[in-house]
Parts: sequence; structure tokens; C-alpha cells
Amino acid sequence: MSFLAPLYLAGLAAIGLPILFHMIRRTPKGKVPFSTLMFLEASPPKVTSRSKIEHWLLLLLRATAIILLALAFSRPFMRQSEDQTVDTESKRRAILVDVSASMRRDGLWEQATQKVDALLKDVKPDDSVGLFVFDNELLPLLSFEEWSGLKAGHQATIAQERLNEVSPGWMGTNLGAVLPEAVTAVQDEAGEKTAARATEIVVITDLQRGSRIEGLQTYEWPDAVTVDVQLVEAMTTGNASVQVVGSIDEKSGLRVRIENVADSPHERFNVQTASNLDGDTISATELVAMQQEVHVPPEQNRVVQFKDVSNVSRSVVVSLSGDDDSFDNQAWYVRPQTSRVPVLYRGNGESSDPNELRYYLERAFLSTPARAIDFYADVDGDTPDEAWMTGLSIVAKSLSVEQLSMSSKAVEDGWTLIVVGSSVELCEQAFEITGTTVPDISEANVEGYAMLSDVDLEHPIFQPFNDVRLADFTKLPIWKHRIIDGELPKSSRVLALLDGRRPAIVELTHGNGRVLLFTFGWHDVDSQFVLSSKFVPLMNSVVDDFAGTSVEPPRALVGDQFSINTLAGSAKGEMIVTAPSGLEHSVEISPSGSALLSEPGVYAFAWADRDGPRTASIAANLDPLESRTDALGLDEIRALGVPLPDVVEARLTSDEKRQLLARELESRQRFWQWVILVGIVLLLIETWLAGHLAGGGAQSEPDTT
Amino acid sequence: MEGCFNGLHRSPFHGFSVEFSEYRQYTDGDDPRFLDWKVAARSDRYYIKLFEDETNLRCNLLVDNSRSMSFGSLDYTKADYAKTLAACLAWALTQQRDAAGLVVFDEDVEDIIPARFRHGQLRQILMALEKAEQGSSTDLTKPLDRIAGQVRKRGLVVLISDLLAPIEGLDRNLGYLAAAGHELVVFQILDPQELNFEFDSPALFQDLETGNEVYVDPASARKSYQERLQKHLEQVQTTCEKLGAIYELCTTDRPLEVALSEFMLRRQRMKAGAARVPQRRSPAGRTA
Repeated sequence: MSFLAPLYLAGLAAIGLPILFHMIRRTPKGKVPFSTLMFLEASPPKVTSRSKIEHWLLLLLRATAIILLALAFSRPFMRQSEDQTVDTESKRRAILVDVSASMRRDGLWEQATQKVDALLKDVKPDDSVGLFVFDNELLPLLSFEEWSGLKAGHQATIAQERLNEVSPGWMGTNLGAVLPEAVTAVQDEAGEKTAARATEIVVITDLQRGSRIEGLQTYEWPDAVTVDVQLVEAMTTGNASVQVVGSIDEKSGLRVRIENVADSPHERFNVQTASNLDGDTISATELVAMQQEVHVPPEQNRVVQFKDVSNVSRSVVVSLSGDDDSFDNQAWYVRPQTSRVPVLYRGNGESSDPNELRYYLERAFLSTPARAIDFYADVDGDTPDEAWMTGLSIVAKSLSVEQLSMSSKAVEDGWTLIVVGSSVELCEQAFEITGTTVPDISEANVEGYAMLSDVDLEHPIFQPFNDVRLADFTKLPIWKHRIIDGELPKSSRVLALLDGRRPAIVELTHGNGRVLLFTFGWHDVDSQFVLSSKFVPLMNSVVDDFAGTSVEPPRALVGDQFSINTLAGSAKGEMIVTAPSGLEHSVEISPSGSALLSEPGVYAFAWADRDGPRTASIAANLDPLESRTDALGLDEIRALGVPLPDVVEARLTSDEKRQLLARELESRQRFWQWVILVGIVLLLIETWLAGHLAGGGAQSEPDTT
Repeated sequence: MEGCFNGLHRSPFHGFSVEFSEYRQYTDGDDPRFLDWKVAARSDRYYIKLFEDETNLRCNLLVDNSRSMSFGSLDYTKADYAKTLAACLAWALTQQRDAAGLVVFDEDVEDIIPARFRHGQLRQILMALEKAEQGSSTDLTKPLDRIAGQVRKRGLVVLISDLLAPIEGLDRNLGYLAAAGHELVVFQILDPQELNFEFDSPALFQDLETGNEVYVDPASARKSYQERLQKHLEQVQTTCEKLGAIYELCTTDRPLEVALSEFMLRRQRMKAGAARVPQRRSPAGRTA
């Protein structure tokens, strides 16, 4: 038992008072009114000392109440608990070292490794330590299991060796995701046996403003895990970053944004652009011409334009100079590669006749920087069958048997075929192309009109409509459609329904390709689809999905898992990924295939598809948030519920810490409340007892103690 | 009694009744109707035959309303007892068509209702008695002076008080009233505790009138208190006897009717001993 304010124990001396009063003072208790004092003589007051205590219980109660009061004021607490938690309890400690791009600044990594060394030296034999590095994800260097599996003397050495093997990368920081992960790791590792141990997470980081701590807002921090953030302090404060905004176009050229941090002492920066790819570097004169001086006050940003860049090259690197930290002074831009997409229409009509589907289809496909559309129409059926093998086909006219088999082969090879089911026969042919059993298809008897419902907005071709403002398909009236009875093949996917839950749009996969069947015609007597606002976006979405041209511009951030499927489309095989540093690795092309963009620069991709070898490149730029290097306050993290120790606490001497600890223990235990409560109860009993005794002998024994 | 109406009580004046008082020699101007012709025939001298007059009683009740009267060790105080006594007397007087008056006093006269016999007099007296104790000390000088000054006609003066005041004033002022021919009755009201002083524990005793406080240990003070009180009571009694007043000591634990009946009997005995004629006569004996 210890006391926070032991001086109050001096109050115990007051215990003598009740005894003193009890023994000495016997003055009259009250006044007696009397008619006259003319016959009375004043008696001298009797102050007599008693040699015997008469009411032992009363005296005991009073003395105890005073003792309890003195105890309560001296704020008692159990030192044992403190010892358990502070001195003797072993810890499970996860050491998290920041290896994000901002740690590349001068001196930070050295500080971080020193801090880890210091922590590893402090490790007690019973402690369990896990060493992790983090940027936007948590990576273990030495897990708790490995630690406990190593010999006692080697643990710290191995951990240091592992740490020496890593260095800050180029990724962004995501503390909001990493800290909960670390909590899970610590708790998972703790297990039942050591659940009572103190678990601590030590984060060694520069804690720059762009650390993405918002993720902690919704995270309920467990009580058992404490966090100690050990900051590494940068020697420099002025950092500015550069990013390419939008894409190069004829009018505005290349737009570059320069952002300055809040605590920067610099305001003037130089920005220059250069092409470092494809060998066509800019000459010295051009370089000077494309250099601009920019004035950006702290915590502000400016956008500058380089109009001549559009004439230079396909990929551009923008460099910034004039700030203290260089890790984020370059930005890359790759102009998108235009791919040609052939669209074949097999149907009737003149291109100038607004009553024909062809008229609308020819005008529906728009060329973008990423793609150019080549539209072909086969009205007379004179297009060679091989032509069906080269693009996106839209069938609005019945196919011959040969054409059916040819189409089936094309779809199997990975092409896409759209069947506008304006007749029962056409709908049946869609199933025949995929080689599945043809279900019963009949003409629907529509009263009034039908509407599309249950549109599968998750499907890639409906992605443009995946917004509540755009997902309204009720303004598309369908007067005639076909009914598919019976079960659809397992490989099919219904993308939209009609009234009566009849399939309206069905995706039938066959081999590597697919057939999109619309059970209603797109114009004329069937529906007004071609005139609706959904037609053009849907057609372009189908083309993008078909040609893999939906990523525009082809840029990404370092740390992204770049889905190679967006480049390769329906191609198969392997894709060679060349990193900016020149490292090559191959990735198998599959819907889930991706390449991690681990460094800034231009990534080159090479693969082969139905057209032969293809290449593409994308620019991977540094996470803009990583450039926000001004320090984030610990209070901001604490405000999100992370139990950080007080910064002031770190500066205290050991005595002050002990005192602080004692205060914390005391405030946690709060024994004084119970002591006061017992004291009050005792006083109540004393009051009752005194009243009882006084009532019983009121006339005989006035007592003022 | 010097009353206004014909009543039960013997009057000091000669008047018209059946009771013969005395003869007086006829002088010029006397009404020849009252000549005793038999005596004149026998002795040839003219005498006027005088008869006793009968009148009503004028009674003034002097009730002490000082703070000391508010003491009471029983369920009621001395003041309650005194007021009840006064009310009883007033009621009895009214019942026999006598004039009753009231003087309520402490150190000064608080309320004064002149002795009358009329409708509502009793109610007025009772209302005056209802008033709570006021004032502070008991001072008999002023009220008795006032009574002596205001009540010219001789009558009955009943003083109801604890008389816990210096005896000197009482002696002098009661003497005035006695000299004025009033018949005096003194009821001294005391609480049993005042007589016996049976307090157990030492305490601060506070004078109800002055507010003074004195620490008293009853055990040691009881004897001297009782001695002093006894001396005081004896002085009061002696004074009353000297002035021919009827003195009655009433302790509040004594039933009121007992006290009253004892007083009546005593008064009757005194009157019987002192009277030349029976105190009560039949109305039938009156003569016009």
C-alpha cells in the first residue's frame, strides 16, 4: 500500500481529539428556559476529567472515521499492481518501421535504424518482439514466432540483419490500414497463454501529413494494446512536389501541378520537362525553352503549362528543383497509345437512312486518344468470312450455316459478338453460335410496353451506368421482344430483365469470347433503344471492354497493383513487365493477373494477342500524399482513439515518471472513494448511536464530543 | 359593593330593601315617607328608618401576561392556567349578572376592558385572554396604579399572577387598592417545577423575561432556590394578609375546579365571619 499524498496522513493526529473531548469536556448540552432566575445562583461549570471512557463504541467509530478520512485524503493505491504492470510483466512488442518514400529524406532512415537498435537492446529475456516494416501495407521482417524460435542472444542480431537488408521504398504511407493490421498481428501472436501480457506497438516513422490516418476513425482500438510513436525528425523542412495533371492535348499541352508543403521555407522552384524514353531526348535549346520558374507559397499549389510538349514525344518526365527533398521531384507521363478497333455490322440499311440501325451504329462509336474505331458494314453479305475474325461484330440479320460456324469459331477464339434479337430466329442463332442447347424462344405479346429492370450494373459493360443518377432504364420503352423459356446454359449471365422477369440481355460465353444477346430490336417497331441516352454509352462501353481501352490515361500510382487485364483484354499467355529500373518479370495474363508498381517511372508491358506482339507503357508516379512531408501532430492520432502516451511524459525524469505512474495507478484504482464511503457509513452509524445514547440518557449525560 | 344595579351583593349605601340598617334622626329635607311612625308614636321623636341597599358586583380580573407565565413543565403553561382561571371567574360573574372587567398586563397594561355587565362582555374578555404572551418582565406597579386610578367604585379586584417579582412594589400597590376599599383576591400561579426545582442535569438556565443565562447545577442549587422561593412566597402571603386580601397559591398541577371551589369556600367562610348580615338574601325580601 502506497500513498499519493502521504502528508495527509498527518491528519491521523486528529484521532486524539475525540478522545480528548470525551475525557475532558463536560459542559451543559443545551439551554433550559426558566421563568425567573431571581432565586437562582450561578453554579461554577464543572470541567472534570474522566479517568474512564464511557462509550467505547462511539469513540471507536469516531476515531475510525477520522482515520478513514485521513487515509482517503492521502490517496492510497496498491504498489503491487504497478510492479506487475511496469517492472515484472514481460511485453509483446511489435516494432513497426516506416519504409515509405518520405523516409528517403536525408537522415531519416539512419535515425530509424538507430531507434530500432535501441529498442532491441532494451528487450528483456521474457519479451517477445516482432519486427515489421510498413508503407501502405504491413510486412513482417521477423515474426513473433521466429523471435521465440531463435536463441536468446541471437534474436536482436537477426532482427538487425533483417532490417539492414531493407531500405525505404517508393510507396505511400497508410497508417490507417497498417495499425489495425499490426494490432491483429500482435493479438494473434499473443495467443491465450500470454493474453495477460502487455502488448505494445512501437511505430518508428516520420509521421508526415500524408500518412492516411483516416482509416483509424472507424477502428475501435483494443484496450490491451498501447502504441508508442517514435518520431524520426527530418533535417530539412522545405519540400515541394510535382504532378502531371490530366493528359496532353493540343490546346493546353502538358499541365503540371507544383505543390508546396506548409512548413516550407522555399517559394521559388524550377520546373523542366524532358523526354527520356524512346531515345528522342530533347536538345539543349529545347530544354531551356521548356523550363519555367514557378512561385508557390507554402501550403499552396500552382499549375503551369508546357504547350510545346505535345510535339515532343510519347512519354515525358517533369523535374522540379529548388526544394530540399528530392525524392518526389520527378513525375512521369505517358501519352496513351491509340489502338484501332474494328467494328463490324452485319445487317441492313443505308448509312444515310435514319430508319435503319446502321445509321445509328455508324455514329455511336466515338474515337478517343486511346482508340480509333474502324466501322465496317456488311449489308450485302459480301464481306469475306475471315473479316469476322478481326473485330467486334454486331449481327442484326440472320446468319447462314457457314457464317454460324465461322462466328462460333471466332467467339471461341476470343472475339465478341452482339446479336440484336429482333426476331426469334436471330435469338436462336445466338445460342447456336455458343453451341449450347437452344431453349424455346417465342414472340412476346406485349401490352403497352415493357421496361428493362434488374440491370447488372456490376458487369463491365454497364459500369458507366453504375451511379444512381444514371441507372434509370425506365425511360426506354420496348414494344416488342422475344421470350426465352426454359433454363439458360450455365455459362450464361443475365445482364438485364424485362417485365415478367424475362431475360432482356444475356451474356453467353463460349471459349475465350462471348455473345451478347439482346432479346429485343434496337429501333423501329421493337424499341427506341438507339434513340435513348443509354445507347451511345453502352456501345462505347462494350468497345472499351472488348478492346481493353478503358484505362485512360495509362497512369498509376506507385504501390498500385496494376491489372494487366486492362491492357491485354482477351489475350492469353504471358506478359513481360519491365520496371523503370530495367528489371523484367513475366506475369500470366488472367482476369486476376496484376503487376505491382513498386517504383516511380515508366513501366513497359509486352505481350502477344490475336494481332501479334503488342506493347504498352504506363507511368507510375509517387503517391501525391507522400509529398506532404510536414509533420502530423500526435494529438491528431490520439484524437482518433489511438492510446498514445503523452508527449510531456517522455520528457520527465524517472522520479516524475514514477510519480505520474503512481497518480495513474491511483486514479485507476480509486480506493479513496471506497474509503470515503465507509467513512460516511461509519459517521452515519455514529450519529445514530450518539442520538440513541443521548436520547436514552438525555437528562443525565450531555456530551459534546 | 358599589354597583349600579340591584344585585346579589351587599351595598355600602343605604337603599331600599327588607334589611334594616339603622335609624337616623330626621332633619329638614328628609323624605317624610321614611319616617318611622311607630318610633315617633312611642318616643315622640322623629327617626328616619334606613335599609341596606343591595347591588351587583364589579369585579376586575388582573391577569399577568408576562413571559415568565409561559413557563410550564406540564402540557400547559402557567399562562394557560391563569387565563383559564380568569375565564372561569368571568363566566361565573356574568352568569350571576355581575359586571366583570379585565386587565391584561406584563410590564405595562396591555389590554383593559372596563367592568360592565352587558351583552358581549364575556366574549370580549375571552378574546383578550386568547392573546399570546407578550412583553418581558412582570411589573405590578403600573397595572395596579392604573386600576387604582381608573376604578373609582369599590369592587372586587382579582390579581392572577406568578408574582415572581420583587415584593416591594406589590406591597405598596396592593395597599392602594385595599385603601380604596376594594376587596382583593390574589391568585399566585406557580409551576410544580418552580416549587420543587427538580431538574437533574446541569444546564444553562435562561430567564424567560430578561433572556439572561446562568449555568446552574440543580443538584447544588436546589436547596438555596427553594429557600429563597419559600421566603418570597411567605412575604407575598404576609403582605396579602396584612392588606386583608385573600391569597391563594395555585400550582398548575392542581385541578382548576378544586382550586376554584376551595377559594369560594374560603371566601365564603371569611365573609361569613366578617359579615354583620347574611351574605345572600332572597330577592323576595326586597322592598321597593
